[in-house]
Amino acid sequence: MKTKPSALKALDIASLILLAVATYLALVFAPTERVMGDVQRVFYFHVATAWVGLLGFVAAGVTGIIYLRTQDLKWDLVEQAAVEISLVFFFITIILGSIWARPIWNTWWTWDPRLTSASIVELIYLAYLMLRQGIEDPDRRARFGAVYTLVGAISVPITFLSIRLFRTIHPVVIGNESSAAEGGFAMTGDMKIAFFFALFAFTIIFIDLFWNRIRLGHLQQKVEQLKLKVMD
Amino acid sequence: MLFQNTIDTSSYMIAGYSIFFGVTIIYLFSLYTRWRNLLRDLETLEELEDK
Repeated sequence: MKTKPSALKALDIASLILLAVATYLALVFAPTERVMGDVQRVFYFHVATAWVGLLGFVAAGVTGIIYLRTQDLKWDLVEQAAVEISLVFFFITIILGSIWARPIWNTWWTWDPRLTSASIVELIYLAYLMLRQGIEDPDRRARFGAVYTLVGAISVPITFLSIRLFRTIHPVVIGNESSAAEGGFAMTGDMKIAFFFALFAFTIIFIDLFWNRIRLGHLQQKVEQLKLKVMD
Repeated sequence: MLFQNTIDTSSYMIAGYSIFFGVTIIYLFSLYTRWRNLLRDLETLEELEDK
């Protein structure tokens, strides 16, 4: 456990390279948007971090189901890892969105359906980590976590679909947007390359971080077990 | 014909990417620190167990 598997080392390196390429494509390769200027480049990482953030929350819900069926504590560990990484990515999404909104909407924040639902998702999962800490019994904690993430996962499609179902000023880049949307744009070929590459790169980065975080969870579990053994 | 000028929003772009890399580095550092601390705890506990 102490030594990192070579596949994970390779994934670490691949993630770094992919992040560097995604940054180059977003900042240099993609053309400057005609109206919004350079701030539009934030969009590539904004969408990519949102994608992996929501993916992790769904993965946590799925592992919650698996735990409830198997009662195996390793799934609780996987679930916690997914939530933690997604919280970090989704936090970045919200901050990047706010930075983009300042020059485009002339405000850092507005209680639009998408922004509101995204904030609720972030708070739901932040509460998950905090509430878990208050439960000492590992089985009860895992059962609570599984049910919580399962219910919490409902907020994910609501957030994703909010800009397609409600009247919102948040732009929809792929698909039909609300007539009230502000800041939308049509992607050129080079923009699409930067966009889809960022989605791919962040998916790999997510897998890499997920694996690393699961290893950390295993080590934590081992230390806790040994601590109980030594105390007895 | 109306022409819309491109606004200079580069400072916002720099702020956005700085925050992205800043938060990512902080998270990676937290993973590394937790791993290192747990390894230290594990070694101490193993020593205690041997005694």
